[in-house]
Amino acid sequence: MKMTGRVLLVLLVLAVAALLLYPTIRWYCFVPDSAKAIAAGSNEDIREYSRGQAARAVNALTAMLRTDRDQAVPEEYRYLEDEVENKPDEWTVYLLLSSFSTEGELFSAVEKHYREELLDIKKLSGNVLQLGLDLRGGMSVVLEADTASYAESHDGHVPSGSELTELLSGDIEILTSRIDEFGVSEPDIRLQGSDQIVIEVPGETDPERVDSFLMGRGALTFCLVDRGLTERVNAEYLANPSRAFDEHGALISPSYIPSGFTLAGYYTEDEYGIEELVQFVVLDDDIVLDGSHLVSATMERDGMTGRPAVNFRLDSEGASIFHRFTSAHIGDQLAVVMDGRVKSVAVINDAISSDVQLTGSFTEEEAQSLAVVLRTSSLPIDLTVVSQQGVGASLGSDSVNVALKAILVGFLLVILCMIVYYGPAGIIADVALMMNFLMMIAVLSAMHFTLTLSSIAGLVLTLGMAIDANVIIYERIKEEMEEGLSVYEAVKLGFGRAFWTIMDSNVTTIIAAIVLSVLGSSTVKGFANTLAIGVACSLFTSLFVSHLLFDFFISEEKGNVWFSWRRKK
Amino acid sequence: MKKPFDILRYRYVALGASGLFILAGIILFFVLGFNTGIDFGAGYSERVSIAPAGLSVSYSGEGTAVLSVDSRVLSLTIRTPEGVEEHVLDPSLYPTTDDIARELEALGCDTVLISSEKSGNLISGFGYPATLSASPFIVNFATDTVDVTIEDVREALSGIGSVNVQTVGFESEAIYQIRIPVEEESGRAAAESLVNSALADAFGAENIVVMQSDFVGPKFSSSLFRDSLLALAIALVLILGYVALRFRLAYSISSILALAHDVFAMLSFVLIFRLEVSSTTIAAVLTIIGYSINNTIVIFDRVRENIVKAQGGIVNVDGIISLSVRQSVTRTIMTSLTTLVAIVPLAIFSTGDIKLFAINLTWGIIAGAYSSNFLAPAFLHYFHRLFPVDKIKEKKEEEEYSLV
Repeated sequence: MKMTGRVLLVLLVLAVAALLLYPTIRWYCFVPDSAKAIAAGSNEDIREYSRGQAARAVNALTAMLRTDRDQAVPEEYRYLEDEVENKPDEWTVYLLLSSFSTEGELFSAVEKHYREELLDIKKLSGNVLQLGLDLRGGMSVVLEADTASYAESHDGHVPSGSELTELLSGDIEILTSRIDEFGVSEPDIRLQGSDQIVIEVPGETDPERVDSFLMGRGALTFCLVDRGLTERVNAEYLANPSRAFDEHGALISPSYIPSGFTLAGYYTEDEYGIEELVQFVVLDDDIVLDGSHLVSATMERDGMTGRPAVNFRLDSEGASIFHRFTSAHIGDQLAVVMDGRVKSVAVINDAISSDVQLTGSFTEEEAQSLAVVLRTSSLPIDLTVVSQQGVGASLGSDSVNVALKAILVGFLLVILCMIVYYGPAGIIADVALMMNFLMMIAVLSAMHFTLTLSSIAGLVLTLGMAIDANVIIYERIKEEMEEGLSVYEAVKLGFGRAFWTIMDSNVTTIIAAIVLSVLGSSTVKGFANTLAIGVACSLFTSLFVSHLLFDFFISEEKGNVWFSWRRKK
Repeated sequence: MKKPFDILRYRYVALGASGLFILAGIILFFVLGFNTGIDFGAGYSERVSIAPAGLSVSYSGEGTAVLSVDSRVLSLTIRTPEGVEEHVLDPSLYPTTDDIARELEALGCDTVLISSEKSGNLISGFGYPATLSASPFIVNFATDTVDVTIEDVREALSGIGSVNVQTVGFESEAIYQIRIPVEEESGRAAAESLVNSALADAFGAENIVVMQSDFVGPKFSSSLFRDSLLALAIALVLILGYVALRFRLAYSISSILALAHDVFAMLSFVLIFRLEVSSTTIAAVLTIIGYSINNTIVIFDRVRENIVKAQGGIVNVDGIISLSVRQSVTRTIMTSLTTLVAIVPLAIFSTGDIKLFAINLTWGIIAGAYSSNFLAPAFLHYFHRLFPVDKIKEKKEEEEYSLV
């Protein structure tokens, strides 16, 4: 390969590494802490914050309109100018506000601005090199499917491998939504092996709170809808959503709603995963039925019309309550309420007992998500805690400081060793080592690995081992020089002869690391991943990059690189 | 002329020394057994500090207030729809709990001062970051003296039965690791409340700070052990296969024997020094396998090359083995040295699992370098006799190769 080609390849690798590291750099250097703090909340927190900001902005702008309609738009609302189609040369508050046809439109424009910004940051936080629980505190729980109790309640049927996986994915879905409702940021919930679920919750160390979302049931209720009040509230609020919320994003209940009735929002999930308010519903406070009577829920197509429908089955007690109620309220509307929020509203067409079919004007996805809502009130298969670990946040940050210090000392010592022993050639090896370090961090962050104490140990060890390839090459070059070859020839031959030695020795190390990574427990995994990535990167940096560096200094005709501080005559 | 150093002459010494060391390990295994951590024996463990409650904080103002701690510094974050405000209560600005309490009052919290301590002695455990509410949240501070000794903790827990208490870190910090075994069918919550209620009876519930807790159920610990053995076996078989493919069977068997030595030497080390066995020990053993095979292969590669290079029909294998070890000695020393200087700071500065891991690795690196240089050549010497060298079959098609 030509010299320019080799330089380009190295530059390309560096560019890719920089690109992979970009989210991490952006997160740690360019995102303000205040935005991070807000984005760290749950989607619900973000929505409330955005709504609060939108209500504030609408009030502030309309107040400005009243005092001086021709004043310039303040800096903090400048983003609204991009939302409008006709753009005048000179913006005034009046011109800006008149480009929105309703107050509602303005409200949603402001809300959208905050929502998109914060969700973007939240998404970014998932793409950066994060610290593991042992470094920032939190709780990790390993749960195992309780197949014995499942068999008991299913006539002795023990779930097979694929069935079990399906049941556990159901559990994961439920746990994810429950944990999100607790406002916990970035929980990591995943399947491990065939019958275990691992949950990692950063920051949360109260075992009882964790237990409550593991074992608790979601609050699912069926309530009667008051049609008259519902229409009145919607007529007023849908035109002006800013009036429906106070500055904290909470719903304001109008004074004409009598006691015994509650105002609730009817939400569906939008494309951001945030629940969007569709309309308002006034509910009768008397709960018809709660979720404990629900046995199963599935999405199906209605046999007659082919429209999506949600079928759910009730236990015998629930069925008799439901039958009594529905026969008395034919023609009324019934709402499915989850944690105070309306998930579905349906008209009661018949007296219903155990098998309930909800039909409505919902799409297949909506029916599917409603079935999930109904199902999430109980886990498809019970879970038992097999291991649980909690680390206090400060204990984590203390160990970070210690580990970082140890890494730094180790790194400097390795660099020093090479320079002391190999002189100028040692500097070349050190440059290769630093590039190796950069590549490792880039790959780790691209693969969304979290940095745990064990992976830091892997990092340190790998740095020590990565230098080995350079040592092998240098020893070889020195030998060839002792045979009387010129530096150029010796370097050429040294790299060539060392190639297979380095390959063989590193491939065996990578084999061991991969086995560890696949079969090891999570602590071991973090370590093995860094080791495998580091050793693989070191193949490139030592065989390619340091060879290139040598060729900068040595050509066939001239140049020299010393392999020691002692000069031989 | 001085005779060159012949490593093979010392093979009996090396084999004998290694054999004795491993034998000591085996005897200890049967006499005392492993000092197993909770990873391998079902149990509950927690790290606690008994520190007096300094003040209690509650908040009933607007928005949410979160009290968090970073490197022994408290900070209060108040989140309202207007945005987020963060106040750091640096001990240099607020040296005592009285100062902290006054500042928190000024920021809108309600505080009750319980005892006056240095604010730099903050002890934090579970519960941080804490979302403050109307019910008081207790902040603990250590005193400058050790008020609760390890004997006091043992005394408090004496009613529980088999319980193990150890000091973590410096004695002056008074942080204790408590460990109890868990019977089949009994859960984490039961074990946790058993320990914590015993501590609360002796020292008062508000003075107990739990910093870390671990629970390993009986099912988990048995599967972990099984998986580790499986990982070890698979790694060995794959390495054996690769080396047999790239070299010859004699090299492959010799390197695996040297590896087996490393595994046993590591385990003997752990047994002799009574180090705790946990999943990190398994990781250390597997790492050393990767590290030591690397060393052995470098030497064997040299042997193979020298055999091909040797002139004449009859090859003096023993001479070549010894020559190859000599040729690689600088490299062996340099690599072991660079790896050691990287890992030793971790063994010295860090604590807990990682310290243990680093100590294991340090020993493993030494044992690995030793076995690659003294044992693997000796094994190769014997196996070359079993599988005599056939120069034509000695694979080395690629004399050299370059990426550029």
